Amino acid sequence: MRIGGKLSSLVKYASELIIRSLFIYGDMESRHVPVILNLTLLLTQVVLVNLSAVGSLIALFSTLLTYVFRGASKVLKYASILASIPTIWYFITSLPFTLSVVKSLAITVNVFTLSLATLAFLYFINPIELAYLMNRLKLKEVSLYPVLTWKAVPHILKDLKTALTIASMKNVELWRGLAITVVTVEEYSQFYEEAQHAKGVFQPKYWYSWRDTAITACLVMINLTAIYLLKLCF
Amino acid sequence: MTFELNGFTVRLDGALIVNEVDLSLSRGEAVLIAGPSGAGKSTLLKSLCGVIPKVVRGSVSGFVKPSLDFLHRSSIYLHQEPWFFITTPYVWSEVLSFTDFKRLSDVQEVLNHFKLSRHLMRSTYTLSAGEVQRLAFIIATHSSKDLILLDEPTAYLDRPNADNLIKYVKELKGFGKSFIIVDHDVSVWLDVVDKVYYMVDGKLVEDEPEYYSKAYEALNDLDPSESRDCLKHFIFEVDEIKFPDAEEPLLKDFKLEVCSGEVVLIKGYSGVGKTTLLKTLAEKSVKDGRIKSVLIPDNPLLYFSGSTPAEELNLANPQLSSKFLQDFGLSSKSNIPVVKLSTGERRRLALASALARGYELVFMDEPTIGLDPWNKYLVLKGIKKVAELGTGFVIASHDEDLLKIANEVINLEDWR
Repeated sequence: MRIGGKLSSLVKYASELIIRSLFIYGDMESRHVPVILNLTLLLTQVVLVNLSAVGSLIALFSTLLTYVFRGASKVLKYASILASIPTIWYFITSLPFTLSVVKSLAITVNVFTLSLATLAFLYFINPIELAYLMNRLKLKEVSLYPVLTWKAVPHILKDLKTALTIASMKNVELWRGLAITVVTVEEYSQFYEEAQHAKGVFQPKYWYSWRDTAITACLVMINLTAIYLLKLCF
Repeated sequence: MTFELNGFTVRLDGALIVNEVDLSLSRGEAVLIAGPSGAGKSTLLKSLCGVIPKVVRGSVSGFVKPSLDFLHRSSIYLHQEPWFFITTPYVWSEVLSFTDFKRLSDVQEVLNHFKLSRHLMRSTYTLSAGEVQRLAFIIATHSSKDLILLDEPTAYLDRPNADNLIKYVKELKGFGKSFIIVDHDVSVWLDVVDKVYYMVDGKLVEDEPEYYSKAYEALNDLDPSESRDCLKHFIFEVDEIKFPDAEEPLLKDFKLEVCSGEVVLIKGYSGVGKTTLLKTLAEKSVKDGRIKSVLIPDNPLLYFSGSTPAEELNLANPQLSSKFLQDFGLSSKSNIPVVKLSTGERRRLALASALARGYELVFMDEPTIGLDPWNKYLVLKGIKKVAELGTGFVIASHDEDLLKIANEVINLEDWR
């Protein structure tokens, strides 16, 4: 039961981190940047990480700048902790293979940078933009999926936390808390289907923020310059 | 929007749920349908808007003028659980995507009418139940549909917000919108609706069933537990409580003392932070570990560890499980899955389980939401029964009927 209790706390903590690093803060101007630009930024960071150790550090710096300059400093703390989970795992599991702390640390920096950059990408993309683009591309049938996912995931995570808290209070096995969350989600899917069916037509509207698009474009330019210089040097 | 139903019948899994209903509605009219849980009220609304048979399998028959297809196209149905009606992650996008509003300033204006304007850019997931209900109402009433089907639209609202919503329905009638409203509280709608019906065993009747007066009489006879014993009490001290996305704290230096057998009610307008406070206290209690306590959330399904009432109570107290099932009126439901229980039955089962497990303190969130007067009475009686056996309760709710069994009331509005 003690291991179950610790595991339960860990799952609850991880759920809270996901909620705080992706979902809890409302819409803001920095979430009104074209998704293609956000994707380009992520790709340049991935390329930098793959180039060299210096590239990794530049990518990490670029990711930190993304959070700071795009008004998401308060999310950085939670995203960093969340990114640390796979990072620590990779550090521990790579040690027996590399037999070198320095090499393992290099892998660790890469994993942390990629995790943080991916979280930043997920934080800054806007599901309304995805739905808007799908609608423009005549994909109306599927345009509800990204918005409903963004809406439903934190709701489910919150219920998971509540179910696990109750399982701890009742001193019952962790799986019982997980099982009732699954049953609840099944009930939710039925309710969502009912409620969404009899609602009006979904016509997403969206706008772009020129200021934040310019900031993101600058970050992409910096990364591209770094890629060019690193390729020139090495 | 004018329509007429004659002999309208709905069957689900072969069972007769709506039985030969006759109903007509003209443009700008509103009717209210009350009645006990399970009588078929929601099923009627769902079949008028097409959820039955298009989403939920069932058969619909009877005469519909102009046609059932026309009704499906002209109606919008506001689900009794408003969370599931909300589609998008932000307040602004929800209103702009599902209504005819073109500009954010128009959205701001309508949000302002429902005291939601400061939430324009907020994540819909972080709204309180009452705020979600008001947002869902805005969507339902500002769509292009002329027939608006409202399923318990005031369940999560405090009195002033409920009054504001009801007044708005009255205004919209003047613009030609028609309403069918399902609600347990008839009195609050009397000034607005043109007709009141009661649904009993799938049939619509005009006279108030005896059931209602009996339920209200029983509710009025409730009084607080007299077994409060302050020699044994629990103290909670909270330095600060904050909504995770807020700058300012919700509460500072909050102290709560709960005696054994006492019912403490935390009340306040929707969005004031009742649930946040309750969950914080429950988490504090888990961390502290000295008090044997449990949380029964507003969705009581999350409370259960067993798949059936019998299993839930066997896990708690195998010797006395059948006695608890009987005491809480659940004997006939002992072996059906908990997901098949009604909300009232789920709440009573959670109470029976809490009693069987011998908790010293129970945190309960909105225990009477969506319950008809008789089920509400049964749940309140259940709480009182458990309190009289020495369990303390901390309950977060805006329902004034809970004042009947509360020994102490904390109004969160006084703390802000």
